[in-house]
Amino acid sequence: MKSGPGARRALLIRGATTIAVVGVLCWLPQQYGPTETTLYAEALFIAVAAMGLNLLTGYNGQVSIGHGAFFGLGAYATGILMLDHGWPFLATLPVAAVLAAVVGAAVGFPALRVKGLYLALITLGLAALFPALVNKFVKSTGGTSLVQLYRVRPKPPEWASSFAAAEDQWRYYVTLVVAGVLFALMVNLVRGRFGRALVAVREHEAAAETLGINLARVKVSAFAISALYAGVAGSLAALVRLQANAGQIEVFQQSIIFLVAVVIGGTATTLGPVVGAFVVVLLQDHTADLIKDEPTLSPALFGITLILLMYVLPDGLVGGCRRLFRRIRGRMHAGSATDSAPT
Amino acid sequence: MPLLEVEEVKVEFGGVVALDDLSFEIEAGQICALIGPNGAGKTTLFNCVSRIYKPTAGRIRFDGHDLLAAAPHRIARLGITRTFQNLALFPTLSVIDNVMAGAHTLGHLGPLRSALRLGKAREESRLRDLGRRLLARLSLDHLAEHPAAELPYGTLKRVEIARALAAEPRLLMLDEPAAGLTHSEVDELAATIRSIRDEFDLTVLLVEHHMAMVMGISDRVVVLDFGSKIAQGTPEQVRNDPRVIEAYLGSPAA
Repeated sequence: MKSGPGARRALLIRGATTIAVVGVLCWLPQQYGPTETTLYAEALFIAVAAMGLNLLTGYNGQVSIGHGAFFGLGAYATGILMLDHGWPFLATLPVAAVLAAVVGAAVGFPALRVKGLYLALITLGLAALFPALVNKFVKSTGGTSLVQLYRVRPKPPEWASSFAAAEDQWRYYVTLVVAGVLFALMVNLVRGRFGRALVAVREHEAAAETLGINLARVKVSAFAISALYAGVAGSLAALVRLQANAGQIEVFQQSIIFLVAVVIGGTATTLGPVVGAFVVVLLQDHTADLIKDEPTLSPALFGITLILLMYVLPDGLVGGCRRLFRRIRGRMHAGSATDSAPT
Repeated sequence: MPLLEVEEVKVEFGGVVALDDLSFEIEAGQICALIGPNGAGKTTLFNCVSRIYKPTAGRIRFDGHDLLAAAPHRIARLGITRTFQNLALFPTLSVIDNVMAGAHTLGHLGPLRSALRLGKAREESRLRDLGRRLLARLSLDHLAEHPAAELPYGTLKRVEIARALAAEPRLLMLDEPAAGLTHSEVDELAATIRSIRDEFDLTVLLVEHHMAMVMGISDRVVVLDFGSKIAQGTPEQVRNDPRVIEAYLGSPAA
């Protein structure tokens, strides 16, 4: 590990930030009503999907604009298992995760042959294909493919009544715990041998291969893990929204939202997708509130804000903060060893 | 038995012959230089050994293994690593992370065990120690946490050598390591190549245009011209070979 007082201070800052963030996230449903609580839960599951997409696109450099399909897959797995088979929500989570990961790996193999825009196009095809498959094979009550979970929705347990008496609060906390666990796993994942291999493959494939990195294995694994996160996010979405739906437009929109969250937050940073997800969800909500009489203008306002954000912070909120922090530290250490590098 | 055997290797790119029945061998422990005018096929041979290109015909054996039958990512595991003519570092990774990425084959943790932290701390500290030792060996330890992108060219060349050493290779292939270096850097590099050869028990295959360095450090020199071998031997023998002089200076006026 890194050593020295600088590293200890960094660790301290990191610890304090973690406690503060966890504290705020736990406190939100106590402070706000059902509408806001559900909105924050929405930001949490979008954060989970964005974390997964960030692994694939941010760290590994494979662009996907079809993650809405994996998300939908997770939502339907949970929805169908709960509604038609009476499963409790938590039991459906691993099924949604594994299902999405398997499909993700299956998409990852053909993706080995294409890059960049072509890969983006293939994943876009996935997003187009998914709603068609759902409409063909899923027949829920009323003959539509919309799965309603209101009748089978989970109730808050007795022991949680002190902090999550309301259903929306309980759903929020379940989402928070799952998102928290997946966040911790992701942090471990990207810091280590596999994480270095992901970045190595993104930055120089040929060099990575001569170092013994199996390109196919790394890329397919990245796809599978990334899809797993999107699948779990979809499963959580089914819980929070109490429905699973796969309209053509929704799947596209969802895919784009994940990508926006990753880019706004900062690609290839651990915290970026989480920050990005909250910014996107809150921004969408607030721009909708801002112009009451002209609902058509709110997406425009949302879009303009995105453009401005990207213009000011091209490497995202977390990337920008990190750059700022480094510059301040660099100024404090001006003239030290790092500047007098022997050449 | 030679460590690396290149036998009648032929490479064609759409009718253009880049390597034409090239054969040579390197004994373990040697520093062997591959020289020749631009376009002679030196880097093409490197790319065949590291399986970036597939030869049209021929065999390449390393320590008894058929390299052309091995998957490209197995080459490092068999004991061959390399540097590239135009730096191929990972720019956003720090210097130490570049070297630790070089030690990929010495680690074992896949995504699952990494995520669950099963044995991760131990593996990371082992690879980090190895990386630190190599950086110290190449006088780069003070730059360990620096992003690779921001460093001067000569420094990056040494980082790339450190990264190639991290996999604990037996054969190290250096593609124009002296290109773009200053005079004093070239002298340092020559000394470094010799000393790491002795210290890490390496065999070195070198593509280089810097003749003073080639003649100074090589045990053997193989000369290519238009994809064919035109001479080989000790630096002394090669230097006085009329075909080599002709290839470099053109044929004498009639």
